[in-house]
Amino acid sequence: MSTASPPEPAAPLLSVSNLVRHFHARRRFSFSAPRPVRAVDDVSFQLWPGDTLGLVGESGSGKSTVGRLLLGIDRPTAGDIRFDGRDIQRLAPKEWRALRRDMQMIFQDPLGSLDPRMTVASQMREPLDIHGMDLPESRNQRVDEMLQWVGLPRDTRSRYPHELSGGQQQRVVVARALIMRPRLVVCDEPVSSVDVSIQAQIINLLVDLRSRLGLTYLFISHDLKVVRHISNRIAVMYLGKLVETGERKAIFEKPLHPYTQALISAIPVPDPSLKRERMILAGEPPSPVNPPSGCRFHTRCSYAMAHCREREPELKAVSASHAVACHLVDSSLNEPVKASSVR
Amino acid sequence: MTPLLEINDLRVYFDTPRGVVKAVDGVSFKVAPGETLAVVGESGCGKSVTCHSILRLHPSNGRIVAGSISFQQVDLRSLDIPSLESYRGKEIAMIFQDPMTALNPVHTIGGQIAESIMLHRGMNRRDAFGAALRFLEIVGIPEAKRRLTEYPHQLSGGMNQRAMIAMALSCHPKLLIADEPTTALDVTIQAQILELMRQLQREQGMAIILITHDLGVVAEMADNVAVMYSGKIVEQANVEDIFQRPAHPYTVALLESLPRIDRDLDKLRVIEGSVPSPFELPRGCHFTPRCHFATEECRRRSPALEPLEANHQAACLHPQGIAP
Repeated sequence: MSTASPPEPAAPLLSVSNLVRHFHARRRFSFSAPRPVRAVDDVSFQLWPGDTLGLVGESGSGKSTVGRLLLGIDRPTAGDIRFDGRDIQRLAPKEWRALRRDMQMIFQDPLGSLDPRMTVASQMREPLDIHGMDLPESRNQRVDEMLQWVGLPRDTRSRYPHELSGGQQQRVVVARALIMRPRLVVCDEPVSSVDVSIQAQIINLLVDLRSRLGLTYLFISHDLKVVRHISNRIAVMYLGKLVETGERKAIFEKPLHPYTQALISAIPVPDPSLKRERMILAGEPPSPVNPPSGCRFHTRCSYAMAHCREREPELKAVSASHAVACHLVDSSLNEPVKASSVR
Repeated sequence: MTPLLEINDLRVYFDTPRGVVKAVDGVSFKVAPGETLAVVGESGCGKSVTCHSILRLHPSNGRIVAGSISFQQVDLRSLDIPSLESYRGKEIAMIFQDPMTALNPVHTIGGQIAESIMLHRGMNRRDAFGAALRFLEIVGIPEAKRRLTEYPHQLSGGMNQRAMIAMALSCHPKLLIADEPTTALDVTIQAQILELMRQLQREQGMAIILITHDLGVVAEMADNVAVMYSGKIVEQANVEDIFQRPAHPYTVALLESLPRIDRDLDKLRVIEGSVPSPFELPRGCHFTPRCHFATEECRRRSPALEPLEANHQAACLHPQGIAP
C-alpha cells in the first residue's frame, strides 16, 4: 500500500472548483415554487497524479453524483472541472471523446455494467474498436494481456458474464475499464456488493494495478475500512458538502470535524477485547431538499453552538494538507474536540 | 442452564431443477436465555436458511429432512403450522435486512404493531395501540404518536427498521432472530440500531441469534459465534476465542482478509477462488480447494465438528493455532 504520497508535481491531474449539482424534484402542486435537491453544493478538491482520494459519506451525501459529474455522465449546475488543465465543459465533442479515454469508471454492480449477451472478449474489445485504439489485429492480444493483468484465465475470453462468479465479473469490469489505459479511474463502491473473501481479492487487485499502471483513483465508498486501506487522501461529504479533507493518517488519527469523528467511531471493529466509548449520533441525515441552515450538520452535532445554526462554516485549512469546515475548529487550535465530552 | 433453543443435526434440502441443494447439512447449536449467538458466513453458506427454518419460514421448495429443533423443550419440528403460529412473533420474533419484507405497505405502522399485540397478548384495540405507541417510543422513533397513523413509505429506512424492531419486541419474545438487521443501513444509523438492540436485550433478557457477514458487528454484539461454510458449521466458540484463537483455516483467512479501521495492513490476505457451487461440492471437507493446509485425508473425509478446548469446536483435521 502506498501510504506516503508521491512528491506532488506542480499541476494536479484533476481540479474541481465550486462544483454544484441541483436536481429538480417534482413539484407537489403546480403553483408551488420548485425546490431543488442540492445533491452537490460547492465542492472543490484536487487530485494529483498517483493519488488515491477516498470520497466517503453516507447515502444521499452526494458522493456518487460527484463521480458522475467528473466523467461527464451528468452535467453540473455550476462549477469548474479541469482534467489535465483543460476545462472539460468547454471541449469540442471530438476533444472530449479523446479525453474520455483517460477517465474510466468502475461501478458497484458488475452484472449491471456488463452486457449479458456479449462474450467477455467482445465487450472488452468494444471500447478499443470505438476509439480506434491499437491496430485492429493487435486488439485481441491486448484483451488477452488485460485478462492476465486482472488474474483471469485465458479461456475467460469466450465466456458470458452469467457463467462467471461475482468476483470474476468484477475483474472483467476492472479489465474493461483499464484496457483503455486511463489515467484516472473513478471507482464507485467497487467492492460493496461482493462477499468478504472476494472483497480482499478485488482491493488487492486495484492496489496492484495502481502501482503497475501508474493510475490515479477517486475511490467513492461508504465503507471507511476499505477507504482507509486504499487511499492516501480522504474527503468526507455530508449533505452535498465537503466537511473535511486531509491525509489519510490525519483523518483517521486526528479527525477534526465532529461528523468525521462520529463516522469513524461508528465503525464496528472486529476485536471483542476492544470496548470502546462509542460516539453515537442522534437522528438521521436531514433531506437535501431542505438542508438545515448554517452548518448542515448542526441538527445532529452534540457541540453545536448558536451561530452554527446561522452561519455556514467554510472549508478552511488547518495545516498544509488538512482542511475542515467547522466553527469549532480554529486554525490556531489544531486539536480534536475532547472525546471525554462525548456521551 | 437449560438451553432456550437447541438445534441438533438439522438438514434442510432444496429440490431444484438442477438437483438437490443441501443448503443446511447437519447443523447443531444451542442458545441460552439472554445469550447472543452470531451466525456468520458468506452468501449461500446456509446461515439464513438455518435460522428461518426454526419457524419454518424457509423458502417453500426447501424441506427439513432431518434433525430436531427444540425450543423450551418443545420439538418445533413435530408441530403443525397452526401450533407453530403460537410461537411465531410471540415466543420467537424475527427482524430482517429489508424492513419492507416485514411491514405491510397498505397498513399503518400503528395498526400492524397493534395487530400482533392483540393477537398474541389478547389486548383490546385501545390498549394495543397504547402499547404500540410505547414501543415506538422505546425504539426511539421521534413523534411516535404521529408515526402510528403513517404508512411505511412515509418513513425512512432507519425508521422502518426501528418500527420493525418495535413490532418484533412488542410481544416480549424470548428469542429474537435478527437476519442482517443493519446491513442496509448507514454506519451512523447502524450504530444506533445495534445500541438499541443491546439495550432492549438487557432490559427484556431475550436471547438473540444474529445472522451477519460483518465480523465487526459480531465482535461488538456476540457472546458466541458459529462460522458457517457451504451448509455446515466449521467453527464454533465464544467470541474472544473466535477472534483471538481462530482454529479453522476458513475463520483464520476470513479474519485476515478484512481491511481494518484500527490497524494498517500492507496487503490483505486473500482467500483464493470462490465458494463452491452447491451442485459441485468438493469431496471431503468443502473448504479443501481454497485451503493451504489441505491434505489427501481432507479430500477423503468430511471432518465432524469436534471440541478443541472448552467451548471451542472446529470441523477441521488440521486446526490452527491450538497445540494438538
